[in-house]
Amino acid sequence: MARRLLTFLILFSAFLLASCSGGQDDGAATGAAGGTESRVRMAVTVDPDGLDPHMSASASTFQVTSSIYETLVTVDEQGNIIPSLAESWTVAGDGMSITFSLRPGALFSNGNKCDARAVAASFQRLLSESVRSQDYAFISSVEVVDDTTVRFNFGQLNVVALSTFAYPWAAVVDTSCADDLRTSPVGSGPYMLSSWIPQQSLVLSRNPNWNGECGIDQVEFVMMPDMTGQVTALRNGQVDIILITGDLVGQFEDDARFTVNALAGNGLQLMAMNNASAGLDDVRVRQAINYAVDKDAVIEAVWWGYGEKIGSHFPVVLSEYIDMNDLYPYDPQRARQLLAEAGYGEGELTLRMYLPRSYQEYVNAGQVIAAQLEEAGINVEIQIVEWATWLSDIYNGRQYDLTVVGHTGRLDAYSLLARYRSTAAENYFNYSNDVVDALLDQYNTTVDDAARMEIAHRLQEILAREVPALYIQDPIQIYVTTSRLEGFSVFPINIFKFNEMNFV
Amino acid sequence: MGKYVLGRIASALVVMLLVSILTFLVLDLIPGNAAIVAVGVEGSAETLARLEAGLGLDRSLPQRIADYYRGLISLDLGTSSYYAQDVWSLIKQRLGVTIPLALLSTAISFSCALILGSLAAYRRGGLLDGICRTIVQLAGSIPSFWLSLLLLILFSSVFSVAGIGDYVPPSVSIRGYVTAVFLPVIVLAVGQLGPMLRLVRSSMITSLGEDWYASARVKGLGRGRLIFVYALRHAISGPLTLCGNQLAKLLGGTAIVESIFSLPGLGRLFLTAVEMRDLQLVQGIVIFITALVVLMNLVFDILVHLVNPAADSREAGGA
Repeated sequence: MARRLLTFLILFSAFLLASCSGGQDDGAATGAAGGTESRVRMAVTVDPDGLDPHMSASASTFQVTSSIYETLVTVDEQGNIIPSLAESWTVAGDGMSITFSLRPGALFSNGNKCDARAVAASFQRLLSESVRSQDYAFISSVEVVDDTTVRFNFGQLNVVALSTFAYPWAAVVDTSCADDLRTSPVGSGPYMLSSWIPQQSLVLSRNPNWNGECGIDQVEFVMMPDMTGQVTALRNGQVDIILITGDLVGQFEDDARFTVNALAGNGLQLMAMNNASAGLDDVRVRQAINYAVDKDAVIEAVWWGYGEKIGSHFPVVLSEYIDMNDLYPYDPQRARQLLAEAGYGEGELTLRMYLPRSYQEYVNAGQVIAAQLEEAGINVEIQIVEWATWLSDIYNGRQYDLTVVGHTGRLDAYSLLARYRSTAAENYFNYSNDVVDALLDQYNTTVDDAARMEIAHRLQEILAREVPALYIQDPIQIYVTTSRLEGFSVFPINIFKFNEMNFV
Repeated sequence: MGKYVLGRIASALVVMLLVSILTFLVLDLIPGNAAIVAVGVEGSAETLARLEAGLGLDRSLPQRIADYYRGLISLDLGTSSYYAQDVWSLIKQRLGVTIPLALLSTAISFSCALILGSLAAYRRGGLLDGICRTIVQLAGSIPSFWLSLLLLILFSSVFSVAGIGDYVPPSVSIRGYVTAVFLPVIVLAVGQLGPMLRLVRSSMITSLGEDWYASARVKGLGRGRLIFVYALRHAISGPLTLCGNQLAKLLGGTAIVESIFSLPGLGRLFLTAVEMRDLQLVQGIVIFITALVVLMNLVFDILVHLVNPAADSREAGGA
């Protein structure tokens, strides 16, 4: 009897083990590191959602695809436009077309030619099928001039047209395999996909048809959702690059085995206010909230001081930035006074604050801010919601009073500020100002650089005065790498150039 | 027996259908969808609309349910909207982590509970019994995330064991696989030990108090054989059923431990699928786990029957 039971148990477990080990084989090749091949391993928390840059809107995708595909132009660390697939370009005198000269002899990783015809086909696909096609609606036609020359004609003037060719979602793809790009990407960049097992790892290897600089043979993105796991993995040499929070800097700072890279991003973090909800529709209440919050204390408490305080919706690193921090300094007395003027005595105003659970830093910031608002006599009811719910009800549904969130960087003032247009679908502040609308229209058609700079300044100033949000900081991202890795850098639109790194 | 099994399979299919329809309804009721999550806060309204159309989310709920079951009938679980990969191949990749994890940790906790629980019951009130009570208390109250972090830091940083949190399939390196899976198995085993030990102890006490035990003792049967063969066989149906339930729970419920140890298991996949509102993937996992749970219950029911055939007739009011 007992023997029969034992036999059964053994057979049963053997069956289960056998049935499950089969599925692992495809990924097996990624395990062991090759002898002389250089491989950089970076810990990331989430997978890309497919590897087709035209069909995705998520940052986790672009951080991978920007190594597989090339854009016509790209940016340097300061955000200046530099050559990439296009070696040079000329903008027509009236600004209504741009002609790009491509690198001769460029090939996709599958050996197909990446010439003017391929570029035109890729942009046709972007214009007709991409989820971002609306952003490129200013392009009226794409002309193949000769094998290495392609001209984009514009139907309407767009003064920031050149920078739109640098975003990773405008990458050039091989349209002959368009249907499979999400899982089998084909581009002309330094790397190609070698394997991808979701929630485990994604490995890129050198593209044999890439002739440019390439100091690293393989790049592996290791999915590690937990911060403690990432830190121990870096310490044990299982990964080479991790992104950490400010509290962990201390344990790496004085250790010669690691390099701490604190890099100013061009994103921004803010507490949005619903300008249409009762109380917050009064600019005095919004100003009172700005007086009531000690931003330095928030940045210190939540980000351990790693962040640059801002007073308007503009990242510090962009050239159009002006400092608006002095407008509403921390002054709880003044806050109470303004609240009283607006008709709210002690404890008479109650606001609902929604915080996204997946982003612990925003939850923490919200709680610190709420405590400071309570001190100024405003009641805050905090509710923590799941990210998808937040996106649906708060961001898209605009059912909230206060919320804390971050925005990622753009290369120009227009794409950054367009969400403040009264009619914009992305205007979750419910902010409405005719002057801002007019300035935004004007910005996009002003060819003169100085005049455009002036408009960007005026927009920042209006937002800083009317405070549709409490602008908190331009975050500093802290990457820790092993000190053997050289050339690590992050570019303003959160892309990495692994081919420019190398091990010493 | 054959008829019984067929009946169980039929009811399993009904359960799976109900569970999957319920999943559809719940996912439709909760705010957000896959397109909204993909677009986040940086895309435009046009981008959102295009993505929704691309994923078929602009169609009505009945239409989507009908489409889904059309695929299911031809054994096609569909394509994940987030990973752009076949749902079944995604699930299959996870089983090498999840099933050994569940089986090993259950086996460890079950065998520890059997030995300790039997001895504690035999020497009730003795030293070992006291130790067991402490174990029950401790194992039941230690949160698994805390124990995971503690062990991770202890082994990784203090003892400098390399390879923890670096999953390697067994086909590549057995050693790497064992290193990656060892600590999570311990954490999960500890989590299950408490209730299992308590149940084994109490059933054994009942079993040892029955008349047949006294007469067997008088007849002079060996003590070890008495406890571990005869008494345990009488006492085991409860613990075996619990064992089945625990195993079933582990198949989808180990997301926290998997996240901390960076293991690509089913629980983590499920969590991400829900967060990303990846309907096809959620459905696929729900159906798969339901099927597995039903199968597991069936297997353990048969096991209980094999170990102690008298249990059925006695419960049915016989002897």
